Amino acid sequence: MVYLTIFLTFVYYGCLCFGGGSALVPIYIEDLVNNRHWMTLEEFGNLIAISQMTPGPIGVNAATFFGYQYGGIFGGFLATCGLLLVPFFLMILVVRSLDRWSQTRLVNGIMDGLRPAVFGMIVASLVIYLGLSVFTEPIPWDKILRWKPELPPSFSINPAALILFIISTILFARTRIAIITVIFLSALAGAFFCR
Amino acid sequence: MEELPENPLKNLPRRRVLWLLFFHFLKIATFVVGGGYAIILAAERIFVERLKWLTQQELFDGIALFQTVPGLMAGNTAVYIGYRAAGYPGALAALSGVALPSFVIITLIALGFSALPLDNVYVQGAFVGARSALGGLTLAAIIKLWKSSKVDLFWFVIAFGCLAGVLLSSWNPAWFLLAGAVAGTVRTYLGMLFALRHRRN
Repeated sequence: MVYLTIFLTFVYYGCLCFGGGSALVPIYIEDLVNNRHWMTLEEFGNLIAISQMTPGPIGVNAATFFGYQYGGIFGGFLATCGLLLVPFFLMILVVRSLDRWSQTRLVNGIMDGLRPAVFGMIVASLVIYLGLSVFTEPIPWDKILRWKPELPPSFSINPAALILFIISTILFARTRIAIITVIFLSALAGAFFCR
Repeated sequence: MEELPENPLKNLPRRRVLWLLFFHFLKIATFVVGGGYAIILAAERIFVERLKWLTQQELFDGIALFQTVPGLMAGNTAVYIGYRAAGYPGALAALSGVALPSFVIITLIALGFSALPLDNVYVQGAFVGARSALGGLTLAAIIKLWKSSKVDLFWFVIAFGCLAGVLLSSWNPAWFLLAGAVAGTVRTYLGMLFALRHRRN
């Protein structure tokens, strides 16, 4: 019964997470923390911190953790499967429809609008990444947009991270070097110079 | 896949394709800390540039699609590339590769291996270094996408609107993508109407 509850709960979350795994965070807080009291807000905060530092998508991390708390290893497995179930079939349905209707005017119109939107999203993800690496904290847009920007004293540039960022950009843009090599070397350099 | 005559997938045995899907996605999910777009861009480098299983345009059209479907970006990327390469088994192989590292690591943490040195300064520095490299990966992809896009005023307004919207508001990014899709549709049909009226005059 516990297993069924876990599975169905995460199937439900899987249907809700439009816009990627980070869209799940407010849903988790509202439903799991405030409504069901499956875990406290503090525990949830720790989980998010761990998720950002460990490999893997944040949505799977959180699902595994919740599932484990309520049903052990098998619970974690069920939660992960539940979360991925509906998107799996919806994705395949969408890919098939795209193949069938890709020549129609409607699909072309939608694609013409979505392409620049995705470009904007990717640029935004770069800015967010920079706030977690080259800058010491997320860029305070609300302060910058005021007439006289007053940056908080804790906001500054990490020069070693900036150099790693520039080098890896050049490597990725100009060579066919494998991503894993660059990420690994940059992490190694970061361990000594970005402390 | 008949639109690609010299499709490199044809010369590979099916088992090998499934293994490559699983292995590469496992690798990506393990090394790309934090998830999100960086996972797609890492997949672009492996599956588009190196293996040439699909074109850049196909992948980025796919990304536009993932956003209209609920689900994790990494998971949807895996299903898209996996299904294109090898149907249902391919999608399943790629998705297992994405989910496995998180599952193992979080289970270990939950089991009480809190000895994982996550607040060690060296480990923290390594994460900053890895994220700097992922920033570089993202910027390189942005440059490439910019060069291959047909930029006009409409394109620029949508792209900049989404960028500002995501950074400055706390709304779900899916709304901005929906707005982009609606704007693209409206523009296409308005263009059609104008063309019709022009022809009548």
